[in-house]
Amino acid sequence: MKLSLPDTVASQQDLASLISEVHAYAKWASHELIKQKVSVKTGTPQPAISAAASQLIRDWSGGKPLTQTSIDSLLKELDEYKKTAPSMTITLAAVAPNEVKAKLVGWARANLAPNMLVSFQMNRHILGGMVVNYGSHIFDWSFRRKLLSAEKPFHEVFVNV
Amino acid sequence: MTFLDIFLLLNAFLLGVVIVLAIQYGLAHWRNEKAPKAADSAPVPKAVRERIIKQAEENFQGIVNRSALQLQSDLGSTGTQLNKLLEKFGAEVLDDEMKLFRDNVAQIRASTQGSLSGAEDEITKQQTAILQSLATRQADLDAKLSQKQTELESQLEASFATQKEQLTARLNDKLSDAVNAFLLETLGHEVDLGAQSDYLVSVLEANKEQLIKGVVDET
Repeated sequence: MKLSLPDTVASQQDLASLISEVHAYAKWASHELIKQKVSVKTGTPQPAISAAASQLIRDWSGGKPLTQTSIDSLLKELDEYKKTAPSMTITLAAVAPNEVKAKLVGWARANLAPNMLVSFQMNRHILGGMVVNYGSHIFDWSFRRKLLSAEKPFHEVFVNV
Repeated sequence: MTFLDIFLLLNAFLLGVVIVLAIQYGLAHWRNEKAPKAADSAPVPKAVRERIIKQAEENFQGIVNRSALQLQSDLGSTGTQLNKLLEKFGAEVLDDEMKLFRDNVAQIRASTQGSLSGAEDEITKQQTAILQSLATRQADLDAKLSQKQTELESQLEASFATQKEQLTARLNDKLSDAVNAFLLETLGHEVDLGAQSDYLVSVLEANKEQLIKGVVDET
């Protein structure tokens, strides 16, 4: 089964956090399965995991009962995803809201690579727009760059004012 | 054999004849003195004989005197002729030598004149070549100077243009920084990215090909 992350899991840190949550859930689930086998009544509460992690586990099991094998295969798939996923960084002029992040990540996964991981940074000096770093490539589409590379020099604009 | 040689040989022959005659007369005279012993037996009287002898002596003396005078005269004329001939020969030799000397001098002068003329021609040729070389070099130097001047003017113009562009770029940068700083101070942290989300997606869409190319290059 091919792993598909939700757009809210955007960056390497998000993925690491998700893996940590899945590990915790897998450990708990393993203990619970053993207790069920030995008919132990008292169980421990399920660890708190994020909605993205819950959704991912549900999607992975496909509605079937969760087994130790499927959880292990999910962890293995997540580790492989982390190793092989391409990564890009988008720098914005302010802290990006989650909806903006999801929109940009969705676009990147739809158009560039389905397993793309996107990290976000903030730099108020760019005024607006964005700067995209991908590997050794830097694409500067910020307002500051537009000001600096204006087609009409400032002194010409000032003359016409 | 020259005339002078022939003349000297003739004189020597005549002188030999005279000497032979004188010896003959001498011998005859000596034989006459010894003859008396035989003459004593001759029938000629002594007085006659003495008179004949005296007459013979006088004749002999006369002949010798005449011969001496003639010889003296001949010698005088010979000496005169010899002097004339010597003067003539000397003059001829002198003329020949002078002529030869003049010819040699003329030849040497002609040769020298030719050499001088050749040297003058060579000097003229060298001067012409040097002048031509100097003119060529001067023309080259003028061309190089002109070219260098043109290059320097071009470089100067290019340098001015570059400086102007740099100054303009710096001015634009300063103005951009000023506007940037103004906008930064004005906007502060109040940049609404939510309002920009559509714009951000449209920027990504507009540069989609460029981004895909970057992804392909990296992979």
